[in-house]
Amino acid sequence: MNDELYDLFRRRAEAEPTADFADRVMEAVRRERAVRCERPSKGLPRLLLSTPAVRIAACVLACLACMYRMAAVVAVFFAQ
Amino acid sequence: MSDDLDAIQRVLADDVESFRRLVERYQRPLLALVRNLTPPNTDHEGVAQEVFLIAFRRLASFDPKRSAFSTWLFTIARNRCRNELARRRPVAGAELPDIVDPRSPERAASEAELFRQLDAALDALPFEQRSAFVLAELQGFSYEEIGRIEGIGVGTVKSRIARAREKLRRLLRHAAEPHL
Repeated sequence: MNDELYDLFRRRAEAEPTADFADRVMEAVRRERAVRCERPSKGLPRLLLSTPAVRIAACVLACLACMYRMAAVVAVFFAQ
Repeated sequence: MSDDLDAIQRVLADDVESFRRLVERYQRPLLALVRNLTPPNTDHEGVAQEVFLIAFRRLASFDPKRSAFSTWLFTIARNRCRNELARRRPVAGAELPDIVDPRSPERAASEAELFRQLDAALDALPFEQRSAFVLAELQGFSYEEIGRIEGIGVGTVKSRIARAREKLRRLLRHAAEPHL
């Protein structure tokens, strides 16, 4: 590429962003933060489940509950 | 840059408005990268805005020991542009950005045609070559920084840029000749 062509290409590519671009980004950032702040109660289970130990404990509890339920169903037949 | 780190620490300490300093510092080069890595009919500012938003969400994961903030930010931008190319979401009615051109109408028309051919030539490059070329030639990143952004070695960066230059030269040879 010759220098003139290269400079033109570079100049066009580096055109200024619109004047309110930073304002729009900051508006989106503030919205993002507001959403984060609004959902601490909804986010709590997700936060708890995010640690491996809690995830494993939750799985074990779910398995135990499932086995208990299965045993309860099977026990109906044995009781008769 | 220590000013970047200061702004990042403030944002992480819940001073969200400090993020504006990062936006204002990097909006121009980021937008230039997006313009050069995505087709002309893309919503470039929309993509750049998403990149800043992703950076804000992931700011806690930025490690200044591993790279400069600009390298980290441009890595996000590069990946976002690749996704955009894969998705190809054209904006109805979008046009090339207007530039104030003091040259004659004939010359301006000739350059507009040249730009169109340049865009077409860039579009014809594989994304990896295009990205390495744009980061080196138009953004001025070093080969080491490009390697970190692309996740490749310096040797691979050099060969991608060389191949991109060669292809662009070949594609633009006949287009540039009347202009030389």
